[in-house]
Amino acid sequence: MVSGTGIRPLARLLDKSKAPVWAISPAGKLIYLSPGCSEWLGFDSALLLDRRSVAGAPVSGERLDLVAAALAAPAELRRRGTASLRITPPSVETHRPVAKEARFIRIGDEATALTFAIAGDFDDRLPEPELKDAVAVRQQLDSWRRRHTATAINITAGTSNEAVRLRRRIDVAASTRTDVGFFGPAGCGGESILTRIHALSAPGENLINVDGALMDSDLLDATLMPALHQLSESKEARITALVRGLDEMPFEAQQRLAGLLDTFSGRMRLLASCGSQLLELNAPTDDLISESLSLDEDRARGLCSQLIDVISSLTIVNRPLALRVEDIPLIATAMLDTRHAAGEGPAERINRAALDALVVYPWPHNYEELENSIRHAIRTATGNVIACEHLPLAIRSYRPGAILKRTKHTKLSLDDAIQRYELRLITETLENADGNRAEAARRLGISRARLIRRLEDQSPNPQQNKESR
Amino acid sequence: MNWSLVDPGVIRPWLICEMGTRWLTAVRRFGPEMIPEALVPKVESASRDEILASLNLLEPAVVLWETSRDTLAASCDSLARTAAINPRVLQIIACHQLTHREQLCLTPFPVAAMVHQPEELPRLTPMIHLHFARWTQFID
Repeated sequence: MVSGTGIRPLARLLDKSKAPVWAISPAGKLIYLSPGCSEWLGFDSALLLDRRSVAGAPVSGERLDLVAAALAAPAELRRRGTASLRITPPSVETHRPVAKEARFIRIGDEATALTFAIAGDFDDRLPEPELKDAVAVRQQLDSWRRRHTATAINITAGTSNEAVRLRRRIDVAASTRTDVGFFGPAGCGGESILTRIHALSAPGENLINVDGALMDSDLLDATLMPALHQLSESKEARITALVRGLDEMPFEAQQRLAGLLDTFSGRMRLLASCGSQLLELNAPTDDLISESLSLDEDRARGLCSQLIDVISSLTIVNRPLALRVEDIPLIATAMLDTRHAAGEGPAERINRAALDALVVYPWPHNYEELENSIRHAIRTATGNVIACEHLPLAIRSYRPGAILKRTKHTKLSLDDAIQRYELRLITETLENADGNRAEAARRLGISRARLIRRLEDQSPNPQQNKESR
Repeated sequence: MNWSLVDPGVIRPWLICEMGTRWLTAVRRFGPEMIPEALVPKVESASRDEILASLNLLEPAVVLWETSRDTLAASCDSLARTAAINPRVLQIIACHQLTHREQLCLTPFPVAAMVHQPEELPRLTPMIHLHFARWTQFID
């Protein structure tokens, strides 16, 4: 075997070795991949050179970018200098790479630091508990990105039933060109989901944005005019109308839209987002949608029956964030990854105290508020970790408890409660006064007769009380 | 909160035994949603001894023990004693940093559920409902 102090012998050894070894530049790009990587990944690893290797970075959605991002070092490598991560690279074509333990080492100073990684079957990991959590979150997110490459919108991350249902519906909607109704309260990301569905199901098709609340029949005609011309002139032409707040659209405009959809049946498609009122009608489970949509009270519901028929072909429901509590850490970290990969800040992970604060906050403005909070936090944080102090004041100062209790008390009887309180005070004072009623009455500032009367009122056997006076 | 003003029949006590306030905050946030609308959760933080001392007086209740490697033995003892004194108490273990092997040590004891992070609490809602329904069917 060749030995030496120069780089060539090492290069030859690495080339001969079957171990996957790779290097990441200070800019976060893959600058070296050993032949072992090709064997592990199932394709020529040279194709990954110069691709960004930062968690959450596959902005293009291309499969190779996703593989490059999966090879990224875990959070806090910069601080600790070494890190461990179990990596399961996404499959390319038919090859499914096995999961391998990877060890990362960072060498050099801040500006020129290189990251070297080697993957194998190691079993020496004892990370700090905080980092163990961060690594677990990263692995869950990697798995989610691997399985839902095209539709991996941050708000669909998670392991809850709601997240699974949401992803499945989006997958179906993205695989076929059909009318879609999105139900969710404000800030639930309906527009981004519908836009992604459009891009996947009908790439290149003309998309017209319509703001439902601002429309009347005439304005709707004017907005859709160019598209309607296009449809009239060519039988091959197809368009998609993305309507925000369909349930806020005036009834006449809705009927006009339904008429247009009927006229250009199949060639004009509707992607519509609706608000929380409809979500409640569709609640409590998605399975009841068809039943609830058969109601006749169109106006009360905010939608005309023709449009209900159209969007009931495929409905997507996104529950409020407060009902997807267990997904909050994953969604927040996915949002952070996206912003970190876009170079918005140095923070790579959210510490547990900050995640706890995010979990207990009730999120009245849903996913949009979470997105804004993460944006605020990554801009505020100067280090690698987002802590409580980097979160917006409303979140870090939120203390749950008082409001819900107060609303529940409204069902109690005030008279009964006061009686019980009075009797308890009298009993306690009597005990303190060794059963002396005159003394107890004096301490309570009432007459002895009143004290006795109160005791008699509450006693199951008034006669016995009279005898004991 | 003056609890003497509330009808005792609608109070559902939750006792939290922990080092800080992490789980108290979480139960205050999710506890009210984990019991039927008409009932009131009385969430309080207490020491191990205070909880054991008050067990005889407790109506059906939920006790959440935060357990770490250092307090594992004490938690096992508390779990066993609590179940022996008052079987109407539902016991939940909050263990963030226990290894799988350490968690297995707790399984012989009457642990209704183990949670690792606060976001897992809402998952226990059906179990809490059933527990209170079982022990308070004559009260409610």
